[in-house]
Amino acid sequence: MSGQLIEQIVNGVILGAIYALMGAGLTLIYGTMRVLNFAYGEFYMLGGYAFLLLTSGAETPWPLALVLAAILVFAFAAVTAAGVVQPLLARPGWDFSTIAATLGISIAMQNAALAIWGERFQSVPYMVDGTLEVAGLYIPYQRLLIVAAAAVLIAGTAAILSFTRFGRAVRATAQDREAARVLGVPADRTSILAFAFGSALAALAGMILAPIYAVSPWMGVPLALKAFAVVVLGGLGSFRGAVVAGLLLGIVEAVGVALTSSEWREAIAFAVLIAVIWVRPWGLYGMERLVR
Amino acid sequence: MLEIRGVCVRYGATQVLWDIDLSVSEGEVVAVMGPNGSGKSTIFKAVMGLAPPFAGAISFRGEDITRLPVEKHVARGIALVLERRRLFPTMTVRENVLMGAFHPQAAKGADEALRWLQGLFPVLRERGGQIAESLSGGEQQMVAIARGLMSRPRLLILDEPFLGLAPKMVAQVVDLIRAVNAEGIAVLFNEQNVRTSFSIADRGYVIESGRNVVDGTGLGMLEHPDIRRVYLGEQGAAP
Repeated sequence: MSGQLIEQIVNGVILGAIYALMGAGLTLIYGTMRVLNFAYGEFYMLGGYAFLLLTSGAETPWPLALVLAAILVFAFAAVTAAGVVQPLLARPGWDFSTIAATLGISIAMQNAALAIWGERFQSVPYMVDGTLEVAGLYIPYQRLLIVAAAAVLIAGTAAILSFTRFGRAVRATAQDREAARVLGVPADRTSILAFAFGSALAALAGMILAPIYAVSPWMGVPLALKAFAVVVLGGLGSFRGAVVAGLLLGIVEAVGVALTSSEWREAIAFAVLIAVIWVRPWGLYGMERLVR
Repeated sequence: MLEIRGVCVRYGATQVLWDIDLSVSEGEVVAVMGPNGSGKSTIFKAVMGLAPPFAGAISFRGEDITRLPVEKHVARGIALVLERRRLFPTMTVRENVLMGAFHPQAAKGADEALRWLQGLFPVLRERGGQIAESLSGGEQQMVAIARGLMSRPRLLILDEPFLGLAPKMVAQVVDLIRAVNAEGIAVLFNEQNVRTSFSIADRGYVIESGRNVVDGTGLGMLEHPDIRRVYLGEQGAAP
């Protein structure tokens, strides 16, 4: 039993790493733009397809395919943000109109994927083969790669936010848009780039998960839902909160499933979400004063 | 240096400024006075591009800046310290101040500017590593002014710099404005209290209900019947 529990915790960390990565990208977008991006799962999906086409189609080596696909999704998301989302922000009723617009983008992208690539679930070969055996646990290297890649991406994003000019612009815009503009920060351009950056993180999550889950037009839907849960759990707009909440949710889910059965997965995840929000409406790391 | 001519501003359907005229010369300290909600802050927002006028013109050092986007003002030599300090709450004092040198032009001279400001504002040295929101209101005001000065502006605009400060802190901010002005930087600020204003200002404007009422130099303005009526609450002083 305890061996099984350890195995589930390991699975939870793997799942949690992906939730954390997805949550980090979404919270970055919300933090700078104050937009709930309902097309977020579709950028994850686009990452999966771009990676599939580059590796299986064009026979690009997978590390290069990761980079190229991320750049493609970044560019596509930047155009979407600048063309569709940003123009709405200057108008009255932007808080609702951006939700409608991103939902529209989500549906359009799903249907475009269906029309172009079909409804078939397509699989992507493992990036690395083999299994690690340690203390009676068997962990495929692919799953370790997922954790390592997610950790590198999250740490890299944190470093960009802390130490680069772009990162300072993002943090200033997120904390006080007007004050940032007065100091010369181009807040609109910063938001568009943050939207694209967050979407590229989702795309990368889609790519590293593609060998385990299949690629399909709807692959982003459950992950986007989890990303929203993670962002609310961590505190809207909090990067650290999203990372902690993602890991927490992954582990709680995996252990919960081990103790009950897999049908309870979503029920457990969202029960935890509701319980936390009940006690702390601002989330784990959210800004208390915004709620008061 | 700064020329505001016939500026009218509205928020949505509500007009808040009517034909405002105001000017600031190089090295001058100018106060804008008037009751709460009279539109003092909106004048500053119009200058900075945060509330673009629908009529009238604003020029700075000979250049028309009426429609200049907010983020381009810093490079022209104008800095605005917003009402209620508006520090970035989870950044440290040092990070906040360095945001003032975000513009590439300002970034080049950031080290030098920081040394200069550390001399002027002891709080930057004493509390540099502290999170901005943990500071007292007066200290936050100092940091906000320092942040504005990081870009080495020719004109520093302060929106309600004394709001909510203890009398001792008011005196410190007054001294600071004098010190900043002594470096040749023009200062434009607003304040409800006429006596505080004229303890530093060369000239003053009184705004009421979004319109110019009176302007002039020094304490002589205090004797103006309109000022006594609007400000000092002497109801019988004016017809």
